[in-house]
Amino acid sequence: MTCEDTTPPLMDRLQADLSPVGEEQHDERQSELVRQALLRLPAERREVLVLSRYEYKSYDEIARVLDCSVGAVKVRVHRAMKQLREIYLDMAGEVSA
Amino acid sequence: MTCEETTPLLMDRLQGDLSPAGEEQLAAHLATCPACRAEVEAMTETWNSLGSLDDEHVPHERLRARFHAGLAAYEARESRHWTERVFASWWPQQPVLQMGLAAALALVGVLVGQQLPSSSDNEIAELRSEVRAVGIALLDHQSASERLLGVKWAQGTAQAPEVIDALLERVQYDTNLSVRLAAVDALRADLDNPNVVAGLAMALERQESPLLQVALTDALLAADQPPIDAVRAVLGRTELDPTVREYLQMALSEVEPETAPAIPEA
Repeated sequence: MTCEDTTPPLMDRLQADLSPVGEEQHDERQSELVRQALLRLPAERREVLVLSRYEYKSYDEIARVLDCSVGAVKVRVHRAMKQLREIYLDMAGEVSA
Repeated sequence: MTCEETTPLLMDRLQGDLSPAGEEQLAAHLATCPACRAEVEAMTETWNSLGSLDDEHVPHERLRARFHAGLAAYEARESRHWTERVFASWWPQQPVLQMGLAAALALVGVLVGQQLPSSSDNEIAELRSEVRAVGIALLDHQSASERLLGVKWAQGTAQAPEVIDALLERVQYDTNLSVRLAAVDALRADLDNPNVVAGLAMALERQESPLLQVALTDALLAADQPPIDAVRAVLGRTELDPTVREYLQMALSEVEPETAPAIPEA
């Protein structure tokens, strides 16, 4: 293989690296907004949400730690998600406005 | 079924834990209630969009440590019930008898102590240093979860200088964000040690994770003599996350409300 042979694939690769990929960028922006929204959530709401969504703790485990009923945990996670959604939609509105 | 009763079913479904019977109940209600249908759709979308974050961007903060501490406290609560029951069955209720029993136990303790070989102090010290070696080895383990265990161990132990050094090293160089955050948390108990404050301040200089920046700032500003300059220096960084910037400005203004200086804009 000569050096010249390597040129097209290399250029293709660079091109692929440089050119914006619409969907990916959109996903990234969305993730960034979700992350920001999560940070803006009051700490105690964020806590139950992170525990159930990212730490894979069961509602039962969370209830034991927070010393409340399983039903109350579900309501708390639900409230946290509602508020997160509101914050997210607000921020998405600001960004696109 | 009322609309309110859909919440626990929905939450179970999101965790992938809804029974077929529950699924049927939920579906039956949704078929008749457009408001709940919209709600379920919105919540499912939110739940899924939360899944788009990779672990590095999730604010676990002190959650893991707190969660495990909470769980341990719960288990201790539970086991205390049991020990209290046993204890109550033989511990006398009258103060005179209590004193008598206490004195007798103290005497037994002294006598037993005298019989033991004098090398026991050395043995205990040896054992301690062995445990410490294991703990420090954990802190240096290949797997992040083992290192987290090591940090957790360090949280419950008297802080020898080499443990503090190992924790500071985790804060500075660990590739796993959760380990770095947990190590910061463990070091918060030693903020009266100037080396810890200096080490954390140095870490703050280099760290680029917004979550760690916030955790480090929290820890540093809780010190008796917070290294305010180190925190303020972070505000000079151009690439600083806007949310973190806001947070740092707020935290700084709380520490020194009177002298609140003009904060340099990046």
